[in-house]
Amino acid sequence: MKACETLGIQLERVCGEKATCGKCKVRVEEGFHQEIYSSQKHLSPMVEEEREFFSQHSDLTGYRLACLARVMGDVVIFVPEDSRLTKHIAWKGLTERFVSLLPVVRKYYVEVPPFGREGVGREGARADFESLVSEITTRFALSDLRADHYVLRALPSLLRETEGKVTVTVWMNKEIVKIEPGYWDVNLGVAIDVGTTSIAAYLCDLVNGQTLAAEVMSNPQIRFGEDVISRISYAILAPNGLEELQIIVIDGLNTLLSQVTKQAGFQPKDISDVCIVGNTCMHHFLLGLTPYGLSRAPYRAVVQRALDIKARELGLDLSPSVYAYFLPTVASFVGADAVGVMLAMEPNLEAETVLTIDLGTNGELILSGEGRLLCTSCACGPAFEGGQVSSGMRATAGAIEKVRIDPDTLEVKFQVVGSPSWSDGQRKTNAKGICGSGIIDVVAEMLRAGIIHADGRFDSSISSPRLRQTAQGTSVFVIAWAHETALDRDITISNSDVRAIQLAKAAVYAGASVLLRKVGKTLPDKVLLAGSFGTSLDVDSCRTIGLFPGCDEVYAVGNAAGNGARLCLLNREKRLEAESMVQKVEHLELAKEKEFSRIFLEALSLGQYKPLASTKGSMKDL
Amino acid sequence: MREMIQAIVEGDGDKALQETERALAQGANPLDLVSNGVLAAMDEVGARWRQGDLFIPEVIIAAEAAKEVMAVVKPHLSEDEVPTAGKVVIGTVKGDIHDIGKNIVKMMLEAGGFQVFDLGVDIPPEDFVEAVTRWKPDVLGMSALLTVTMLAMRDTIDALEKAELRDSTKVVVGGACVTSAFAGTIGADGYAADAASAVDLCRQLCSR
Ligand code: B1M
Repeated sequence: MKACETLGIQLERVCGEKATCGKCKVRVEEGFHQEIYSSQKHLSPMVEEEREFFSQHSDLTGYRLACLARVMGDVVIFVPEDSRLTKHIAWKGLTERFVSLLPVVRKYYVEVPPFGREGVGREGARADFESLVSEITTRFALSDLRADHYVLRALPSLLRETEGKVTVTVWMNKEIVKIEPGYWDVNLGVAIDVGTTSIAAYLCDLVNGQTLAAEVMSNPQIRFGEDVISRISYAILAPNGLEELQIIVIDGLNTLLSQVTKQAGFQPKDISDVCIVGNTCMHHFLLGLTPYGLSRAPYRAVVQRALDIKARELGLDLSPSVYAYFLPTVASFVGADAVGVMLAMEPNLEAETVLTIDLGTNGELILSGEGRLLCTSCACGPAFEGGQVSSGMRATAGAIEKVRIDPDTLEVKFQVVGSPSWSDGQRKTNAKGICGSGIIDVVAEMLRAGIIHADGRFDSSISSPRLRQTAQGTSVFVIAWAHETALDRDITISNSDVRAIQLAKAAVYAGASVLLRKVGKTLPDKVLLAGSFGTSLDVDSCRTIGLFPGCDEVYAVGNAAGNGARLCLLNREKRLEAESMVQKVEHLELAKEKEFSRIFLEALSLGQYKPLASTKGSMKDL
Repeated sequence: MREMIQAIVEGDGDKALQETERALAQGANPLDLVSNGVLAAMDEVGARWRQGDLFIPEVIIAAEAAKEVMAVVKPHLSEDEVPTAGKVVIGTVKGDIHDIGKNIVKMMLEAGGFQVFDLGVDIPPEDFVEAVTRWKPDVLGMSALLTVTMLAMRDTIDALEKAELRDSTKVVVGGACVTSAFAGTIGADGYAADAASAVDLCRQLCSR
């Protein structure tokens, strides 16, 4: 894996080098290749874990797992398409909302007298900074302005070069964070949502409130594991692990910031304010705070309140004195991203019972209604992001994202990320695997077509070339034939893939039910699906598999977390609102909820919820 | 008896009980009902689970039906005929509260004739040691679902060694994040990927 990376080929490592996902498989070419004698024997021998993996994947002979195999001599390696980490494509739209403009940073143009044409005046003996401050405070309703030494260092030459004509950026009415030459009324802020899987940045014009540009990248930390727990393990166990994780995500942010500013014709140094949301773990990594407490009961964060940190201290390549604002977090697994969602949804203002679901490896659930605001996190597992699913992948190029099955013929058509047309059974596509929304579609469509039953079992009475038995006696259903894909094999859904979805959806369903019960309800009036994943989901498919307690009004609301960050950028009162919201919200730990397990077990069955006809209420014991 | 097995596998507790009572009334050998009936049914449940035919809820209901049948048959067995496949102490390790998997393992073990002492969740090594001292089980089973709590299994094994209990008790570990390789590294006697394998494994270890 290191060797590949040195050569600039990034590999998938969904499981964080635990030899379970097999996504980093590579093939060793045998024999001479341009004067290189390559042989399997030039790699370290297989260890137990690797042997175990390949014993279950007999179709992969000749392959090795790059995360375990060490290079001991010359080798020529073939890296299959699906082992490569590709650029992330995810929905990055932002639902626009109305908010009054009251940013924390404002620009003031001043002409400092001693440097003007009238020459040295009465106040000629004053220091540069005091002259500047005196001019600002007399002309604008500001007092007690301060500045850090970065501003001071740049001040003398700026004043002299511009003859005292400068634009001053003032933060929170109290600190000068930037001085620019001449009149420059462009005031830019950036809202950033750091997710476990992807990072989104929105460049906002703080003068008119418009979003000028948006960019998304996949979180470069993915190399250290797909889920937060794997990354926490790395941060704690590897020497300098935390530092490494921080540097890599900050580097990523710097790239993203230059892309997003470039898109709108600016540069990162034009940014004067930054607002950041992210789950508690990403928040800790960005700040270089140890995630140790997040990893074990009682799940204690290092800090919960909102923070103002100089962007330079984080390593962001912005104007050095600019601040970055971190929204507050609620709990170890309900982060600033959830606070962003709450802010954006303004849930406490709604009279009806609204369930907001932000899905990922960890689902965050927010319920507002009956005058209360509740939230929780439910560990649903990586299935919705393509993990633990045999043909699963993230929503990148080549992922099957929509699937339809004809209930009569059992013929399948699918759509691949980035291409608007349906497959026709003949044409070759660039399909490499299935992403979360596609997997949910598959399960829903298989259920509708009767290929699987509500208990997740494959119907053995069906005969179709697409349905076949593996050597181990389990069933698989073919979604894409080899000739339709960019791989040389069929893309299939297996029985255990369906099981993984059942576990994940049961966790979401049970978490939502527990919240609803707290406010005395069984069903919500409205469901909002947040996050890019929520936006790509087919609402009908979600209803069909029973992802959440059913209701007619279901809306995808886009990146609500990012939108919350944007609101904090545009209006400083939203920051106060966020800070008071985390005081008000009731955080529920599902681990402590007695009824969770029972509902979880009942919700394992697909379709709309029906309590299981158990013999003597045995589920109660669990 | 075939009907009874069928009813258990399908999770039809009422039918399983009816069939059991009918068989007993017809003079069936109660011991035979247990070993070739209930235990055979649970073996089939395990096999069908592995094949993907049954899933967690179905398995729980079947185990529950098996337990009820056992309760009806038991009074017909003499003291020394009551099958005890062995004694197992089980719990989820410190820092971890995931117990659904552990509870299923427990149910399957009970349905398989084991006597199980369930310590619950978030169990520190000392408590495992205390339970082993008290109940002298054949097997100590630990469950962990988090990568970060897995290491608590090793701590428990170390504690058992310190208390000089390691030789008298077999240690079995399991849970979604655990692998057989990991079980090997920490010096456990066995690893089971699912509850049905856990029963097989415990049987094997107890018969040695
Ligand atoms: C003794 O010998 C043996 C032998 C075999 C043994 C054995 C012992 N024990 C088990 N087996 C084996 O037999 C069983 C039956 O075949 C099997 O047991 P399993 O337990 O594997 O299988 C069960 C039958 C069904 N599976 C389960 O019950 C687990 C399902 C998932 C969805 C899950 C659930 C339900 C929960 N969770 Co949690 N949870 C997830 C799971 C994700 C997933 N999709 O798998 C997982 C395990 N959780 C995770 C996490 C992170 C967490 N969870 C947490 C909390 C919870 C809930 C409370 C919401 C709930 C638990 C309810 C309960 N009472 O158990 C938190 C931790 C709480 C704590 N201190 O332990 C929290 C930290 C996060 C949070 N949001 O708060 C992840 C672990 C990641 C990792 N790499 O470590 C996770 C994989 C989901 C994810 N996000 O990726 C075998 O493993």
